[in-house]
Amino acid sequence: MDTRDLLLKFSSVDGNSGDEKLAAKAAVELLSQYGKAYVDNLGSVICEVAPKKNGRHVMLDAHLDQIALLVINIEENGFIRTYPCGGIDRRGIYGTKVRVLGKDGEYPGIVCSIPPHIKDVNDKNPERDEIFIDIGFGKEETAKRVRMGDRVMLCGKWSDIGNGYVTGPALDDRSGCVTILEALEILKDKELPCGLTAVFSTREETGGQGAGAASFAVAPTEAIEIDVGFGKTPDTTEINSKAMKKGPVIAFHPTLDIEISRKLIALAEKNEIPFQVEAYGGSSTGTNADEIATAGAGVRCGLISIPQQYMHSIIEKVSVDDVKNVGKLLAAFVMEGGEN
Amino acid sequence: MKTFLENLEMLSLAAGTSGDEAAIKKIIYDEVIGYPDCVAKTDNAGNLIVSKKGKKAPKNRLMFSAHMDEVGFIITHIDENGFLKFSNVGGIDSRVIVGKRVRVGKNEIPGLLGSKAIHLVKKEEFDNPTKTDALFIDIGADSKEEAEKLVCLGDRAVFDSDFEKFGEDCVMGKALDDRAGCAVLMELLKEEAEYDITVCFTTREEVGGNGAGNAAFSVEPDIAVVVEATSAGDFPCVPGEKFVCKQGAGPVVSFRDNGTLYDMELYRHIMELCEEKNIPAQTKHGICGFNDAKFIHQTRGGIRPVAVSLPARYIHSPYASIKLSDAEHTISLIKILSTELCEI
Repeated sequence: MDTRDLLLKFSSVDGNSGDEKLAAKAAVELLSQYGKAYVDNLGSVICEVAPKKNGRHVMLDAHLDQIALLVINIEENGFIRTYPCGGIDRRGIYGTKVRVLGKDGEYPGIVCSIPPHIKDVNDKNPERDEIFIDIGFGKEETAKRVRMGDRVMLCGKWSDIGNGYVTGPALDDRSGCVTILEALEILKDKELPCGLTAVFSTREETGGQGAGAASFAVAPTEAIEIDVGFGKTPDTTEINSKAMKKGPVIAFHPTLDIEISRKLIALAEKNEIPFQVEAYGGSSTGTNADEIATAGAGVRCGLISIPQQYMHSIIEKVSVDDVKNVGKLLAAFVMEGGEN
Repeated sequence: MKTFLENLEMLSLAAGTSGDEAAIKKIIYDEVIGYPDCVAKTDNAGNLIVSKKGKKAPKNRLMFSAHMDEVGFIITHIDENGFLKFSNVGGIDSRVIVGKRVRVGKNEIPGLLGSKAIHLVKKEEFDNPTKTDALFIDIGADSKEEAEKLVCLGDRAVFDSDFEKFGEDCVMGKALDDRAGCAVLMELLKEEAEYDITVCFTTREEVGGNGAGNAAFSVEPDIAVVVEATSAGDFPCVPGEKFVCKQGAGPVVSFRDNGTLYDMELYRHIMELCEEKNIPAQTKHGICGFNDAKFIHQTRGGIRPVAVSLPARYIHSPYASIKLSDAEHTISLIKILSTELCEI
């Protein structure tokens, strides 16, 4: 399957944090051609591509989960009170179509929005526990179909847009997963100089527990985390966002292994892969790299980002070429990352 | 002859913001022209005026109207990187637009109503509604030149929503305000009429324009019945006293809104008729919004105004909803009014 089709197809499978089962099933199918793939205790998908070799074992990780809402109460008249499961954008949540993953199937619904005709009711964005869903049933009928803890997926459309972009929900971070699949495809018939494990981990949007547990189990000597990063829009700066279509973003951060960051730059240059660099401080990278680096006895970790516009919305957008170039850089790191 | 639901779906999916209603007009024209005894013409304000010949001439000349236009966006500028700036067409709260997908221009290319990611938003920005002028539409162009090949200034954008039945007898979609009213009036045109009536599908309601006033000037009725989709505020987050009207409780007959003091004699008569004929009905609680009656009732020497509305939730957003039982009762009431008001 080509990169574009894979992005559109894989990101359209539901997988909210803590409930990634469907996405994990799709992931096992996609990964099985490259090695033994299985689901671990926290729901992450682990694919053993090659055993440890020459003292080196690389782990590539991207997160499988996506943001959504969680049912926390069924109210009078059948409205459903929800709470974000991951960083939902409360600025534009009103009037969103949703699918409640209920007891015996999916129920379409709408996030209640206050029309401008009813003024002065609430001039704030809704609080986290004030996001209500209307599935068109009264209380009794709703209670038969919807349970506490059921996930409520935000509906969007997956499509091409402009020249070489794709858009839709969950591209954070299925795009990252696709970069790993791209790398595995490049490496498929090659003799690998090292061990290799691919991980599509769970619960990143709620803390990164999946990646932490998988890293402990895999115990790699080094890891690369692939996530989406902020793409440039008219309301961002050159510092807090990176250009679209200008290639992978290689990160420097206190948590990350500086030699791996430098190695990634050298490999991009050597293999003529376009790239960008970001450097930032603080105690957290805001990605699974935080959990991976500190897992077990510690893992040397690098971080590559795919520039993405409108992160955590139903209109997430990435460049197909950026995704392909991250895949190439990952393959180069597996093949040549151990060389001096 | 398409069913009510088929007409509503087609009308909801089509794009027609205020001042650009041609696509909606064509859908209605192509359908109603096949209905019995209907003659349709368009006027200079863009209205579609359908005259339906009845068995006899009425004592009171009767006009029905529903507006064709919907809220949306108009492209006002293309920046050097190919992002589009826009203004709202009609009243739209920014809380329903941030991060939504739209269809832009005649070719309905996809557009993204973008804003920086939430991770880059400061706390006060996160609590307070985003200013619409801080937003932009991304059509995937990498430069101004690339964008100019796809979009012209003045092009419109509408929410990219589908149409779906859900829950107990409900439908969701965009622009149900007032395509639901249009579809109700199309039902009225399907059957043979007792009296001559005129049905107007009007323009520019959402921008407080005068499409309906122009139509009323030409039609010269004695009584005008405006069929609308009005805000039902019967859901959480809306305090009880602001609920306006309820879904599932039948058509909403108004005595007052922000644009019109309705004819009290007709209002009371209609409420009595509903009781007599066992049609559930309600009135509008509180004073909010206005509709085409504002312009119609002041036309010529004055026209007696009536408003019958479908209670609709979440209007002026990507997805509004109505209950089909409310639509059925509204259709029944409108059919009764088409003879009763002619004789009164």
